[in-house]
Amino acid sequence: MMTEDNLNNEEIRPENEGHDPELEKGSVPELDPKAKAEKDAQFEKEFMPLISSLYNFAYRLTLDEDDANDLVQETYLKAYRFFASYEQGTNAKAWLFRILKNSFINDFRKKSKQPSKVDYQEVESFYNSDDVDENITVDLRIESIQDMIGDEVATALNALAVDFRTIIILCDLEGFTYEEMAKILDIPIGTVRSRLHRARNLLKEKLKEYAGTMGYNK
Amino acid sequence: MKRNFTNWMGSLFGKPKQKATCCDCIKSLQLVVDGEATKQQEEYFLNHLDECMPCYNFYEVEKTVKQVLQNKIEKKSAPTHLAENIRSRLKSM
Ligand SMILES: [Zn+2]
Repeated sequence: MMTEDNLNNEEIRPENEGHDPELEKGSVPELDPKAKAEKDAQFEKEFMPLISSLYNFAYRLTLDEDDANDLVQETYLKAYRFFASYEQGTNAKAWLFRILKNSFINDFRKKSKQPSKVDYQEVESFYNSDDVDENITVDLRIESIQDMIGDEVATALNALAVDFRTIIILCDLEGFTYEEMAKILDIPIGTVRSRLHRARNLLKEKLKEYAGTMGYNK
Repeated sequence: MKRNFTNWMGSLFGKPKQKATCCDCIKSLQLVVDGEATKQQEEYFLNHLDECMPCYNFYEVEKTVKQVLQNKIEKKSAPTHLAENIRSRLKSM
């Protein structure tokens, strides 16, 4: 732990975040009380109002309240460590979402028994096969979607593999742009588009299943 | 590896061969629904809807799915103790 007043932490670039999740707590330079109070006030103002959005994202990823709490807490601690690298007026929400998503991938998925990454190859061939194509949303009617209650829609969303779930949450629930999603997920915009496209098709399949079992699709 | 949009579009409505001209529209559709299309793309696409029932139907379904996701899924709020826990952790950092 550094003992000098040290405001020289601009060296920590945002890129570090996500690549070194296990950074020691002690790497935060100690500030004099006044500087720390200023930093804390700034952090509070910029980041804390986003806590419910982050919690919602964490919950939709982990599907567990305790896990969501841990993930959000970890995200804030990490953001605090790198707060000096945060440029005011830039997209705080996208930055925090990125940290959270990286924490989820780096630390969290290992601990929990989540299924591993989607096999995109498999998904791709699934969509390229003609017999399956026949079934996609053929008779998913607008009325049947509109009649569904939130829980049914949420269940359909939760049934998707985490990468597909994630992109739908970011786009449709949180309203991020393609460009922001590309940054949050570290993928090219073209991949954002195609993944979103697949995710929605999978979701519609699930919705259709529900519509079928609930008798909405008569 | 590109999806065959035409086949897929066709399969939605059970007439694969007929929808061959709608490839470009399907690509714009997602952009329009997500508010990512250029003015020109959007205009072209929305005009096309007047002339093409399958694209119109498909657009309505996509829009509805998005609206339902936006409006019907419960937004979980962070429990009150969470912010307090975080603040007290930060205090000691
Ligand atoms: Zn058309």
